Amino acid sequence: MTTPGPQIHVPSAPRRLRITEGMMTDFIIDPVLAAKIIFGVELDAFQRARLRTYWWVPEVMDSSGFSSAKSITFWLFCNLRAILIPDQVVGVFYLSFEAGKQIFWPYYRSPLAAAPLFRAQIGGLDESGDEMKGTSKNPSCWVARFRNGNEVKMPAPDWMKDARTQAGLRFNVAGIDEWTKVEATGTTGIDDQFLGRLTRPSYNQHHPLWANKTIFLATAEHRGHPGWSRYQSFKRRVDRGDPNCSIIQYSYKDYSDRRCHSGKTFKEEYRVDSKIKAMVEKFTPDHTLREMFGVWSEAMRGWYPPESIKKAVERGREHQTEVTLSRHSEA
Amino acid sequence: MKQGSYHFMGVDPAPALGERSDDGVIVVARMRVRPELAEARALQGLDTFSDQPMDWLAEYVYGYRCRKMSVRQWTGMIHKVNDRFSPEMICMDYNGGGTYIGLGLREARQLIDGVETSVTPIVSPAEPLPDARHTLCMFKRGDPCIEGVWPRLAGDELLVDAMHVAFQSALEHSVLFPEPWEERSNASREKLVNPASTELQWAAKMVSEGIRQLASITVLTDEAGAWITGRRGGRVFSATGKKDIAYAMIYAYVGFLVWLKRMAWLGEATGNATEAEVW
Repeated sequence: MTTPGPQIHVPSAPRRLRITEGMMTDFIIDPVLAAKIIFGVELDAFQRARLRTYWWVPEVMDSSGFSSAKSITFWLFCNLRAILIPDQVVGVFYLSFEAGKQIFWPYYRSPLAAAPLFRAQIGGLDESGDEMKGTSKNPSCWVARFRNGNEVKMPAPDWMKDARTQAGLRFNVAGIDEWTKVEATGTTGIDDQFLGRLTRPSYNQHHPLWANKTIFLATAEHRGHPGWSRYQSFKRRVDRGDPNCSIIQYSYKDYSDRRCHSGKTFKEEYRVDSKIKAMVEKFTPDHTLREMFGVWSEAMRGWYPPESIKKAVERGREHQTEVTLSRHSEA
Repeated sequence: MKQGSYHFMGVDPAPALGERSDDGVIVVARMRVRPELAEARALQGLDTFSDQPMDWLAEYVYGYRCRKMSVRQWTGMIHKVNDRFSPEMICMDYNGGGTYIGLGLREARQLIDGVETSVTPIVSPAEPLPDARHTLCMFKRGDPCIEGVWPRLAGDELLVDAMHVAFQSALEHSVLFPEPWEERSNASREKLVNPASTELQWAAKMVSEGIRQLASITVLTDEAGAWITGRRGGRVFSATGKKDIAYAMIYAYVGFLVWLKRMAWLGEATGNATEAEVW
């Protein structure tokens, strides 16, 4: 039985936790500012560049090396997109559902997600108008909901079935972490199903900001890897100057001496030199280039040994071999 | 002319229209039986000819880079170099317009230095065309010359693999390069100066560049350094930078292998056939 009386509508968030139109305009233009105000996070210079690349370039391949903060920037990007851009569904894919749970989702419990302005955006109403939880963990898909109706979805991937289980989903933003490992499973899921799901209507599909986005995250691989052809295809587009496509490669060396939230420098806070040194010692030079610096290396070996070439020149000197213009002018 | 020497032309054709496109290249190699071996056999009263590739020395004596040339200009250029060196065999890649150049070489009128000139057509040894030089070998599977050296290969990648294996061995034991241009003294460079033409200097520079290109030819490996092979089992070769001069050098050597094999067969068939009898 309902109680008669005036219907009082209470705003879902207090005024100080609302993102005003002016803020929205500034944030859309500069996601780094948005991250600072909404999450209270101060990014290092290369992380800012990375976030802006994700924000403004429709297709990004991030081949950055180990310990270069790919995951956290990706999480910030996905959530900023859901908060700031109207009518968005963001898809987040990992090699396994478990990997997503361990890598992506814990950020929703981190101090970043405790920022009041962010907390105020999380949530939403269900079909009967009741408040829903900000995140829900269904067996096949974990979802973070936002008050503007947008969602960040992390479906349980099924690459072995060529991602056929994703067939009904449509996204505006889709990011795959460790995509090279997905390719290495031999699945055609990335091409056949995943990229085909990026078809949700956007406000302007030709604009770098509003267009749907794809982010491929993984450290670099070698030429014999199944992911090489996708990298080559990206690279050809980048070389042609296609503004819709970008390959970025940062490494632990990009951490600067600027102060971060703890008062230490970014380098001191995030660069674990002893670990990195141990890895460099263990890896081959080629592996180091790929894993640490994001360089897609050819893994090639010279076929004609320099010593043989040198010997051929020496033999030529010995026999006084000389160029000539005809058979008859030979000595 | 050096006694007992034979010449072989390697051609890697390409239109070379853009700045970064592959160059077209003509290279000539001179082959002769190792002098010490020839001397020893002569003392024993034996024929100095040997059918073993390793008994020969391969000297690279000429290189020419061609850019933005039409098929007619290409065929004219090949005929011009052919007239100068009279190679026993011309080995040409069939890619990069090689098929059309091969057809053009059979014409009896060629444009040499801008002048219509009568020449002896160049055709494949398998062609029953009279009054022609039967010295053209197209580097591809199925060509009768190539089949003679590497018969029944399952794929093109295996032919490329076999070619590199053969030349790697030759480079180790038999190849002789002239002094690289950048290592030459001024006196050595001046010897190549000809007021009428800079072609000799450029030939030296081309061969030098070919030596450098050989060093940049690489083969694909996995992380552990093991070869990665294609579907047919051939290794995957590529180069960091251009490789056209190096490949023309290798084609010249392939031409030699084809000729040697043919000589050996004809020697067996006819007793002691000489080159004149063969051709």
